[in-house]
Amino acid sequence: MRQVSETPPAIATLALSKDYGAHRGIFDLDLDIRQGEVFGFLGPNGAGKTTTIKLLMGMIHPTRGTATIFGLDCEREAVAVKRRVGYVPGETPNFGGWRGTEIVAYVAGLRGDVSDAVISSLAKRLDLDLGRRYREYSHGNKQKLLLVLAFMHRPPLLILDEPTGGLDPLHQQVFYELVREARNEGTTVFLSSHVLSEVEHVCDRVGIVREGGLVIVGTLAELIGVRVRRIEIVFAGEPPLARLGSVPGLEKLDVSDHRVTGILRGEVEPLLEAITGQHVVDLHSREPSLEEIFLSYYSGSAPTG
Amino acid sequence: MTLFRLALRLGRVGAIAAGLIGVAAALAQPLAFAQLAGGTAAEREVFAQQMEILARQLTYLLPLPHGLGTMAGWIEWRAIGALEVIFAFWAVMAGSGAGRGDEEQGLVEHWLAQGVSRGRYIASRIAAFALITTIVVTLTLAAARVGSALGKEPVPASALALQGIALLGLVLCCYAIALFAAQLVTTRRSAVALGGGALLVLYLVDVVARTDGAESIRWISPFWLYDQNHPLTNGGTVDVLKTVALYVTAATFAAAASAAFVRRDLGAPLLRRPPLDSEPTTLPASDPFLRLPVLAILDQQRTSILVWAVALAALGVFFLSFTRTLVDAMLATPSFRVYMERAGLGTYTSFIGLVWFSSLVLLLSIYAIVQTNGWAADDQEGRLEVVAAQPVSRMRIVVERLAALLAGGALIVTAAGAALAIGASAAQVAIDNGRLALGSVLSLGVVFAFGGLGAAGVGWRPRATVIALGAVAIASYFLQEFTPLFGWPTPLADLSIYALYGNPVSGTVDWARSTALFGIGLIGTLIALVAVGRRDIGR
Repeated sequence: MRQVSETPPAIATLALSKDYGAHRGIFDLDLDIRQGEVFGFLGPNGAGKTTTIKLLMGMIHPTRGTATIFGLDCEREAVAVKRRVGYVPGETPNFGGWRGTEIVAYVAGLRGDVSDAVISSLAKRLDLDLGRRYREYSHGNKQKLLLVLAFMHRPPLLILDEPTGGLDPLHQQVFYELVREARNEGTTVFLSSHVLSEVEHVCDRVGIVREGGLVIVGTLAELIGVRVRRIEIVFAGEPPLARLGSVPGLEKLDVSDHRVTGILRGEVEPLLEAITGQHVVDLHSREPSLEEIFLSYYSGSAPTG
Repeated sequence: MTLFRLALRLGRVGAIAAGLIGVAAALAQPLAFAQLAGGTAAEREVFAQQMEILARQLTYLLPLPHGLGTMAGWIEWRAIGALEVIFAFWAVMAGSGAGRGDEEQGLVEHWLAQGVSRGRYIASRIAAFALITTIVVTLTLAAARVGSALGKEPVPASALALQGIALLGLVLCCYAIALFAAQLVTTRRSAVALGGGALLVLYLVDVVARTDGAESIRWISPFWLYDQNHPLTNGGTVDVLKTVALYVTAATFAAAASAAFVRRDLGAPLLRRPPLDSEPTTLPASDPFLRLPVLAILDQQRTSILVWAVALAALGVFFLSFTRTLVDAMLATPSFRVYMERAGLGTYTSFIGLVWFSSLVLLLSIYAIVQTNGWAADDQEGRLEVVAAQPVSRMRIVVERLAALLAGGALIVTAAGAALAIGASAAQVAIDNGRLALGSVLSLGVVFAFGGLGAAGVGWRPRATVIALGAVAIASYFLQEFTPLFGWPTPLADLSIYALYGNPVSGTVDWARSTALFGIGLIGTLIALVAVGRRDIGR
């Protein structure tokens, strides 16, 4: 008899909703994040990213739906869940006059499975002096301390709510290294951000959330896939606007003298047919950046597929 | 003008609270006098004697009385006298808020970035508080005038106006000192501690001066300067020199605070320590207590617990320093002796048991309320979220908080009890140390009751819970104090939560009531355990 070993997803949500009223919150979120992947959760302010993360961390209770982490229910088995999670909250807390040394010792005491050597190594890499008082820390240093608290017990899952806020570019690179190392060790990372370059740097898959709903989930390759292109054509004479307008999937046409730009979704063949017989001086076709993809999902005319 | 309006707006909550308390006290006390003092000269004399006894017990809270058989004397002592401490507390909170609180929240930086000069900013805050205080004091004294008129013994408006001038000077003086203290530290909490601490010392100087002590230094206390004014009972005059001294002190400290604010860096104290040559570290603290349940919380609160313990021990010793003299003096007066024996205050032990321990449980309630306020702040400032993100159950968080509260309370009560025992021995006052220990242990029931109720409410309505607990503490204290004094029905006194504590040091120990006190704490704890699981955490 064959043994079937089923590895539970690192994070799974089913119709997860938190309704704050007036269409605020997150609604019917279905997520399935595999173990070992780095998942980027993208969205503008107020889209529901932090609400989702707080639901996963059991900080807030869902209006309906469920969330599990490594098969453990985020509500009923919260303590077991948190044993497996390192967390960076979206807002820096206020520890007042505590020293960094005291904060990490206190949180390490609550965990009980933390090595001083790991703490020291993380603080060194992030160039963080733990001897200073928390209120003396800059915003970036406070963020570094939160990163130390999240990474110090080497958890199998990292849930990070906009983790690079306040970090300078040098330490952002250190953070990306930490994430890559964690992934290489099999750690799953769930990272919310609206910094697209950050997501491009480290994420395997991306989910985009808008107005409390998940718009799309896919790999970067899928999102930037070849079926969506940015087109730029320079004609010698007047552009054949009527024929271009009838090309399926050609959107956001912008005409400037003899230059036409736009987004093409789908096959290229109809476009080539449309410009056949025209004197084309120049033609560019390139993949849109993640930023353009992202913005296209926020323009109100979210594309399909 | 915009800045001035903004400053008025920022001070409105404290002003409304102080105004409500002031108006309520100033209106209610004359009415109470009209009802209680009696109509004949003989009745008034008896009433004045009884109040004189109470006044001697309350010199740490109220000024020395004059003419307690008259409406004017009563208003000066009981209505306006009680406002000294309350208005001083308001001034400390307002001064520290203007000096540090808004800066901590980044508001000052924002305003200065809009092109407002530092001098204009601080001047607008001082001017706004002066205007607000003038309004509050005027309303309070107008209420006293209305109250006395309703009591059919109207007090001259001119005398009330003179009292108001002196009171305004005191409040402005306290505000200016607090504002200056705020320039020396970096956080509002430190500003409250430093400004409040300085004013507490100055107040205690006045308290000692009320029993003819501190003769050489009493002039430094603005409270003493204020107490020398008796426009209501002394022919309608104020001590001009001392009142001017109040205003000069206020102006001096306000100017010093303004100069300090203009000179210092934002977010920094006026005087900076030279940087310590400490090596940067990347290792966690080696303090073992920080990693242990409950002890970690106590470790974080070590300074505040120490301050509470020292303050209560000092107050206990101070109380003992005049107990023997006061009790002897009152027992030597035949009319006082009758009252003392009737009120169960005929011995040193009973005096300590009733008067000191009723104050102690009030102070312990305040300790528990301060802790409750800290729990609310933990949630609002994101610390609770960090703790809740660790593998600890929410129930454990509640239990640890209450255990730390009780442990801290035990340390404070032990220090106060030990100081009282040592002080009693030094003052040759015979006191049953067993009863003293029992009274101290049972006083933890008050801490537990307030802590349990606080834990239950803090997750639901944090600010409202703190205010409600404060109201319960104050109402309970006054119900207990005034019911025997004014002959109110005994069940009214039983409404006081402190009635459950009773008088275990010199009276009979009522175990049923003591158990009920701990029961309130337990019920509050159970509600908190259920509530904490249901609520959302985070800002």
